[in-house]
Amino acid sequence: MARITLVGVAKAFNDKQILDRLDLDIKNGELIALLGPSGSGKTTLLKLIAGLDTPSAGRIEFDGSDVTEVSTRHRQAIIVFQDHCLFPHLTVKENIAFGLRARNEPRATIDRKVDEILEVVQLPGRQNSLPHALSGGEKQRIALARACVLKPRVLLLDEPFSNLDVNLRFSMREFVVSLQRVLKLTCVLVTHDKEEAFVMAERVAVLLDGRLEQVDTPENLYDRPKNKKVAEFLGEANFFPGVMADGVFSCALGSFATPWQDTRQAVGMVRYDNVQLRRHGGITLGKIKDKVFAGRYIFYKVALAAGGELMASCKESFTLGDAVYVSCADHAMQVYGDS
Amino acid sequence: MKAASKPYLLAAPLVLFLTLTFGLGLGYEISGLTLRHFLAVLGNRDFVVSLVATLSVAAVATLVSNVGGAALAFAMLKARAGGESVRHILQLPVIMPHLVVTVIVFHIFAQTGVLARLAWWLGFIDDPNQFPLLVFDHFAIGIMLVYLYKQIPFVAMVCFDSLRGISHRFGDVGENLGATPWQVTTRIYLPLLKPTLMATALITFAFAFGAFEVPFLLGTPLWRTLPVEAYLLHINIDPDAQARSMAINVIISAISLGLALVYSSALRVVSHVRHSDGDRP
Repeated sequence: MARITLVGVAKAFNDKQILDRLDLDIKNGELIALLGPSGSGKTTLLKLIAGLDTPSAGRIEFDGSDVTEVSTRHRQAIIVFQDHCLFPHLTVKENIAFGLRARNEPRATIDRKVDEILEVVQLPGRQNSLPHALSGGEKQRIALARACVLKPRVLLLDEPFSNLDVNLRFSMREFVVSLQRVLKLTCVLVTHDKEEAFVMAERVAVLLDGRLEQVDTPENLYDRPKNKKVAEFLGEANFFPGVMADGVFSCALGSFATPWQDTRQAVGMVRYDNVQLRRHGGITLGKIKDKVFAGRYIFYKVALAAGGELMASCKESFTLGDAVYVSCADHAMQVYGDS
Repeated sequence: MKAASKPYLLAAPLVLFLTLTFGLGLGYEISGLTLRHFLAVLGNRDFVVSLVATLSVAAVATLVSNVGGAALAFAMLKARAGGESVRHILQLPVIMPHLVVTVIVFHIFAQTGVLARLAWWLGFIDDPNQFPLLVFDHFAIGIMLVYLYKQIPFVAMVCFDSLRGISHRFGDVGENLGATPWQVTTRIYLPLLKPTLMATALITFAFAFGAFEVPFLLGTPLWRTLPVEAYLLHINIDPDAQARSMAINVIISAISLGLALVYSSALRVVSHVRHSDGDRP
């Protein structure tokens, strides 16, 4: 495993800036998620770390050594792609042994390592199977085994679960996290699925339009997005324009204490699940305008009496047209400068 | 065409061909079924020389054109946009008729051709005979040049299209796992290209094996390829010679059919590996 440091890493294609001077420090043995929408530059960044592409500017360090110019062959940062990329003409054993053979390891060592890693990925006895005979989850495990058998300094996962069905995705997430802990791998997971990033990673780096907007723990990222852009990307957020003065932010939802003392226009953000709906005992009045049942929660669209609308999610059941009181705790309201 | 009559109609040309070949009429003054002419052909030393020469020329042309074509296809793939331009250029030799190429090769490489004249003009030779014998030569260099001019572009185009259909990610994954570019080519791309190369090898071999006009026009007088031998026997007024010509044609067809069967069995093995129960035996 290795500590990865990105210093001012940038990438441009045909004068189009894909990555804009990124700085990021990934600790030894950490599982970090790169979270962003399609086209935000996540996979490009992963390829730069893997050495499959070179940055236009900046440098990449593994354990303090500059590896920017080190070829992908010698970098030991192994990437597992979304579509597994198992070699279709090779058996499971030959696929896993591919990197070991490239290193000219002795046949006996290769056989032993392949058997060991197949035990780790819980697929013993599949040595002679060809990739097309494997299920999606098995292919993903073999792709992971092929990477892990080389004991890489860094394991890079490029949306590895997006082709799997929901149940399999859940079990594979658990599997990868346990594998990463057992093998003590520094791991970078690229995903556009915030739930996947939150569930798996110790820290999440939000990449929007080629810029790292926030690198934080899942809890901090969800509860305290650094800016409106990050909050919007993470979704399930209500925004209220308002005014900030003397440490109080005032908007259609009420007044909220903030740590800032200056006076200016601002925007407040409250997550759907931080909005409380009550039949009695509140200040801000609203009416249930729409309702969507989503299993764990019911989503409500509420029309505020003072004007405007908001979304709330809770388990309580209201019917369309019900009058409700809407409230939100001070700490749940994030306030951003209007600019 | 009704389904019931389809097999008979499809088999009719073969039945007619075999009937004529085994001497049942049409002016050959031979009657009755006989293997006499086949035995006469197979026992003739000239036939053996022709067979060996034809197989050798076809094998060398197949080997060189497939190795060269595949190498060119890999280079084109590496050149990305440049490869696309080369692909357009390669279409020219593929569509050019063999006869035209044969004439071009003769005019350029013969001892009275452009290269010989250039060598004389530059003072490298004093006499046309001093120019190396590249046409009508014992080693079939002139014949080979025509085959390669046509076949290398053909193989390159087919392989290039096939390679473009193989995910470039395999190469990235291979190198990322520590393989050298050579290992990536030989352990990933070449095996994936195998079905395509099997098909191009069969086509190029069958063409070179059965071609008549190129060896007839550019071949050495010391030996003849089987199609040329068959043609010369066919235009002979001796009915026995004509029958031997037909026998040679059957042998050429049988060898071609045998190759097609070998190809189809090999392809079945490849397909079996890819699409059967998934476990490699």
